[in-house]
Amino acid sequence: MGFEWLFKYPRQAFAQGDLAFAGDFGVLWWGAAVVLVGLSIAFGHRLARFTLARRATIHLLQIAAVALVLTLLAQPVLQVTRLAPGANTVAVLVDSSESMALPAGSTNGETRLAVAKRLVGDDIHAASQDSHIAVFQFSDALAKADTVADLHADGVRSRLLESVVDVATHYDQGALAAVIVLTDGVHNGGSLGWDALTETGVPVHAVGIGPREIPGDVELAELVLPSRASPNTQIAARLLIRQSLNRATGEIRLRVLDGESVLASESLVLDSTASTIAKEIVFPSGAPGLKELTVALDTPSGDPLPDNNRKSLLLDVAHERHRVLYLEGEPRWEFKFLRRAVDEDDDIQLVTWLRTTPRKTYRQGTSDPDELASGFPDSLEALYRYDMVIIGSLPATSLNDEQHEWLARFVAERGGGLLAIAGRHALDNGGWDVKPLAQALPVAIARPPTISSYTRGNYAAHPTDAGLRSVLTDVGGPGSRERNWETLPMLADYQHLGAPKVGATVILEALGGVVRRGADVVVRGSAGKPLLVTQPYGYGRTGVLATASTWRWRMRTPPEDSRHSLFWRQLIRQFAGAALPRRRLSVAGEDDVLTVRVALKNPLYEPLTDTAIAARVTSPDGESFDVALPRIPGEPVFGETIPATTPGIYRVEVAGLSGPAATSEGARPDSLAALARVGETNLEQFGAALNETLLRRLAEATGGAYWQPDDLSGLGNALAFSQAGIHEQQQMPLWNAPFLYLLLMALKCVEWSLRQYWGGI
Amino acid sequence: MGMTARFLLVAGTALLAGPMVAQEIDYTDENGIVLDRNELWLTRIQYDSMGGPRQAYYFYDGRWWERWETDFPQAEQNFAKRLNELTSVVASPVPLQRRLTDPHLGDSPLIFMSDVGYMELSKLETDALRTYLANGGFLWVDDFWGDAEWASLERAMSEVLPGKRWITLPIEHPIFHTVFDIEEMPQIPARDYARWGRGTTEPSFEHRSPTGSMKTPSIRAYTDDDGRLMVIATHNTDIADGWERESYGEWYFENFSTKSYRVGINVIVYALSH
Repeated sequence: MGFEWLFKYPRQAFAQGDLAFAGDFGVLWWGAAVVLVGLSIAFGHRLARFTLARRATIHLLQIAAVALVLTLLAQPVLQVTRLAPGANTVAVLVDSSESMALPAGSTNGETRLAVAKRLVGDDIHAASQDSHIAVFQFSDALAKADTVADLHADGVRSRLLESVVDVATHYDQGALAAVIVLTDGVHNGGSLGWDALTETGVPVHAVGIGPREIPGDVELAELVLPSRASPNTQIAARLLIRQSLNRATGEIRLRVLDGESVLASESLVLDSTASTIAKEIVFPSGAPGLKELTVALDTPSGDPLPDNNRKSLLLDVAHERHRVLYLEGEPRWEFKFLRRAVDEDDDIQLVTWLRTTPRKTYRQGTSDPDELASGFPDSLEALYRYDMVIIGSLPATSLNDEQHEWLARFVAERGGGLLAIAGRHALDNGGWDVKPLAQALPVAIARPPTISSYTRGNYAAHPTDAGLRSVLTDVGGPGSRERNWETLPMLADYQHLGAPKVGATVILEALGGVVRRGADVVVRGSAGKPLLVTQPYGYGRTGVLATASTWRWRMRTPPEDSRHSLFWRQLIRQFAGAALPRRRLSVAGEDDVLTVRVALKNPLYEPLTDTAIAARVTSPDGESFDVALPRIPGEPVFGETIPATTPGIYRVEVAGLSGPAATSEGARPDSLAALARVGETNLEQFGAALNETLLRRLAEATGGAYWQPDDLSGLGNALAFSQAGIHEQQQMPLWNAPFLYLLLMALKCVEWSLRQYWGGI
Repeated sequence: MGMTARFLLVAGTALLAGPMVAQEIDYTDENGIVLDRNELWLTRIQYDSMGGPRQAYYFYDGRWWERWETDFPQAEQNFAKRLNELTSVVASPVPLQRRLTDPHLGDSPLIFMSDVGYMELSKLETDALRTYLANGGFLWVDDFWGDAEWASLERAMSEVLPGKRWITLPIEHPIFHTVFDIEEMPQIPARDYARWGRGTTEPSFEHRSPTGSMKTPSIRAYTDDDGRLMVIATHNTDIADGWERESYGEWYFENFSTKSYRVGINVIVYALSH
């Protein structure tokens, strides 16, 4: 027994309509009321033997029955506004993108588009009743569809929300009562525009077609790569792998490809109970040049959508020289071998300041005779010219209070990297625990009351779980990453640190009680102590390395072993490379536009906003044009959104930065350049399962409803009482609704039953 | 157990344990104090020499000396003390002696050889020194005079680094200026030949023939492919004697020991920073 049988009309009518009475309350009605009330009183004395409470109950039931009869005599009606027949249009949007050619998941093997066509010709036609139907197809663009039968699932992109908003806003061939969209919910084009959607006032009914999950599918859902990298460095690609649940477990291979050459490869077994798996793979950047790198998942046969197993991104490999200042308080082997480790790296300019005697210092790697001539940089601007600072075994008293404050600001405001290395005069031993920099370090340091925190002994460097996922621990070598660390020579010292701070990451631990015999490792059992800890701080990054004997990794391994050098080069590149540049150009290619942003800072890293800049854009077909880059209102950046209709790689160059935005180093060019790709391929193969969440949200945001394709029985009423379109007023009689008579009978039955039960009719 | 015996035992044990990576050991001095492997350890290389008396070994000061142990360990002990006093370098007061084949040679990125006029290196030693230098180790050869002794070193080193050419470092080279500005390479004679008015060149009968002229002291060097010094040879001078004999008289200290320390400190700081 359904709602509509009981009440004669659908829920939408009651939700929207108002109750009223069609009859008049004239003599006849009043007469009937008097008679009914009189009869009730006349027979009232027969209730005298009941208690007061029971009498009251019987009276209430009688009054309710009388009132119901009087209501029926007044001819109750439902006053509704419903679509005026023949005056409205229902827009039907059929998704014609490539993903609609995939199976709908039904037993008969229909494609999603076939289901949509069937629904349009059958259920939706019936549901639209007296409204006109206007059919559109959408994928990369929105278009009127003259005949549904001619639709093909060949669109390379799905602009779902933009298409809905477009129809709801601009349809001018009649009054639009509702939009019905038949889609799998794959949305990969344009911005979401939820506000624009709700502002249209047109309810959207979404019919979701397709399976919620594609059995057996493994997909490379996301790939994140830096857009630029230095040559011959290790780069981490971050991936998100999505798979259908309970997929048969099997080994898959992950590869990073530059054309045909494999840059990195590793196998993994996916946990079949997890729908998404985050993964990182490290590969060498190689020689300078623009590269289109592909990350591919090689899955066992049976993957229904093999095209969603790979993604490609652009990587611009170019030299970018990082300036690193190393302050060291004593000539020691760690100093020498750190210098040697980065000597061959053209992208690192290591400037060192070494205290050789209590009154003498020795400078190396300086750009000019005046650099560091008076010791520590003599101004904040001079300090800010470095991308990273390394502090060795240097007493804090070597710097004055102002210089200590500059160091903290160097990290927090300039966005530089800072690494503190263990030593007799390092960290708390050097009195750094009471200086501003202590706040920025990733571990608590506190001076022990009597003993030195810098100790001697055998320690093995061991990557933590987080460390194994970090580029910092990828030091090469013949074995697995863990094995490459196990076979490194022992460290000979350790500086005890306090607890890592919230937000800090322990990359390496120092294990005591370790014995090495040949390549075998015997661990006697010792809790790991933090050895290399890093954390972001302000705009920059800080780290502490609690040893000064990594030089043994160089001296106690064969000459061809490059792990020591790679460790330091990675560490410095990661810290210095993450430092904020004074000039930054970012270009993002999306759909058919390029979004260009330029941020400029003065030598003190304060934003520059009062200059005029322009970009030269070169399209894939070689055409160049200039675009002014105005300041973005409310933001300290310049930028523009530039149409880019030709798919391919665009080059954007911002020149003329030799004015206020020039760098003081002089070595950097007065222009910035970046590349971006417009127009991705295989978009429709990604996220190809039914996106029911998006469709429900779409319907709820507009006052429509989400529908399953096999149950559209309520769609007709939903359309009839739509809030949009041209309406007419209707009075729908309720006097003959079965519910009212059933209620009257129920009242009298309850009354009769109670009287019978209480002992007297 | 004396230090020499302990190190021989350690070296022997390590060789038995495995040829690739030796078992790590703690180094302790005779008082049981753990020595810091990060400190600068002045390390004397023990080598074999050809010939008999007055060639491979000589009698002096009441005992027979092998060539490699000339001035050892007093020179290193005095030098370590002065390094700690005059510079920011932290040097271990206990010098080491090692053979080139010692599996723990890598703990000493700077090694010192003296009196190499009759030196003979085995194939194993030659290979070990080549590896040591390729890893970034630094070799200082001192106290050899004249042409024949130079030829002895040149022959041995040509086996270690075939094709390398010796260069004579000009006084403008950074090694003469890292801490002290040295304007002239000093000639330091053994204390027995340092007398007022006699000159500074040792007599030729004390050295291997033919000596040729021994008047001009110099630093000759091998550099690596990046121009960094790998091996230096202080020829026609005995820098370490200036350290060893610092307490043998005020005149010797002022005229020779101070110059020896200036050269020594510059070399050490150079080795620790390049």
